Amino acid sequence: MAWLQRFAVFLLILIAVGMLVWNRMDARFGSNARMLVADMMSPFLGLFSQSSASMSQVTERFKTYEELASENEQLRAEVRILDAKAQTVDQLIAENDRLRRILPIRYRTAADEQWNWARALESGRDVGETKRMMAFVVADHSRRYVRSVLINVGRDESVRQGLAVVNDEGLVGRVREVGASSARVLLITDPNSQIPVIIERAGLNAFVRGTRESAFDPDTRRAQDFLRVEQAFLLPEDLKTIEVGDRVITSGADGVFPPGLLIGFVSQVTDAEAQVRPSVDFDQLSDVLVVDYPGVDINADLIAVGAVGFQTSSGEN
Amino acid sequence: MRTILFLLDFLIGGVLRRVRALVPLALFIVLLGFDASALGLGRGIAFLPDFAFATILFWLMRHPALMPVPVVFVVGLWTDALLGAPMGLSIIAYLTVFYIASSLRPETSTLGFMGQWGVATLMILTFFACQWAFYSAFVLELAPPLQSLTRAGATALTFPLVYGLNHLVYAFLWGRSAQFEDLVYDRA
Repeated sequence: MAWLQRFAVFLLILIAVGMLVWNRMDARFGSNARMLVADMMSPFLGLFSQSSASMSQVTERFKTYEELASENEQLRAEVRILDAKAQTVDQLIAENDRLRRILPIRYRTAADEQWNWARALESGRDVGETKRMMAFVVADHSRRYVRSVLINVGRDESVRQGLAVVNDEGLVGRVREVGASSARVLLITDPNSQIPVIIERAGLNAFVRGTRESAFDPDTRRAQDFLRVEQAFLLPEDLKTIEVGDRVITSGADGVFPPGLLIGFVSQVTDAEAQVRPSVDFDQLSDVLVVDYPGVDINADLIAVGAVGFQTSSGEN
Repeated sequence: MRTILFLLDFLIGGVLRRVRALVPLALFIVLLGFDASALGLGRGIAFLPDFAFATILFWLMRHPALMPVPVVFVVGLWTDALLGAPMGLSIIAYLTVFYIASSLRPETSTLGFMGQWGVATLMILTFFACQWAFYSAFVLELAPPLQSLTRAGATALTFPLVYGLNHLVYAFLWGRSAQFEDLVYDRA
């Protein structure tokens, strides 16, 4: 190899190391370049991902008669259960409205926000100040070093940094970088993602953080990423109140995520840590909603978060 | 006749030759897009060979004149940008492979296919090891190496396929029958 070429290689490697160090100090470094490339590639990536999605739909259609019969039976059973639940919910809504009318003071709680937000999702319309945008995952980097996905909406559709991204299973992540027609979403399983949560049954306020690790999940019978409850914000006795199966939802204390979004369920508790299995199946991520949630007043929300904790705990608080 | 051929070559011959030189890069971009898109593989992506890197490796080993250092730098930059990785990570890995490929070229150019496959496997391992090591340094903790190892293995196993396909592309574009512009150029 000629000395000039060798010199060029070393120089470029040095430049690349410099870029890496700069990126370490400032996570926004290279963001414009990344989103420029993403914008250029997103139409092609969309074609790839849509055709692969169609392929999986086609393969999904090939089922045996027994499988279909069994699925049908299972769905009928689920419909019966959901019918019963819907009746109970209707009764509770009526009771809630009646009690609110009796109350002399009207105040906005995290539960109200959650209710508004849930209505927005269910009705397919924007409710109050909450706006939603449908998006499609065009590139999936969730199995690589950085847990992120690329979606096909961007600045042109009023997407901005920090917006929450959800699907029908729960919280997916938040928008980290925005291009003109695409945006990169940092998944909740990335170690850089830290979310204030409530562990419902225990009524505990905590933080969960993504990990780079996976664990075998007996329910789905495959390895799955998990989140970890941050120890720094918990007392040792708090950990003892957490049980496997506890629902973990966003508290909304950061003003970024709407309160009450399902994150997952506690999957393992030891003396040293608690693990949370995300409710979202990141292996099958395709359609998502970007939610422009205006956030709530932090102080009011902290009180409201407490209220949610009281309402949902099993009387221990 | 000679004047017409010369004129044809002057008008389109040079353009075609330059466009032809962009084919390896175009292949790389398409394969990287395929790799980056949501393939519905989920966790199975760990077993998906890195065809984009294998393609670059083929051109680095067999036709280095088409893969000069600045192109390799841009390839790394494009990879990092598209995959949302820390900027510089793939650039370092690609340049390291470029350096090894260039240093070993006198020895590898005389090797048979199996020998070249062995050398390619070494470079594939180097590429993934570089990415893993620099990423671990970047996040200041050891990243799980299993996925990198699996992908390296899958890439090494499927390298003959990539080699064959790229060889066909090369034969088609630079071979004797499809080279109208070369024919024109030579006669002129």
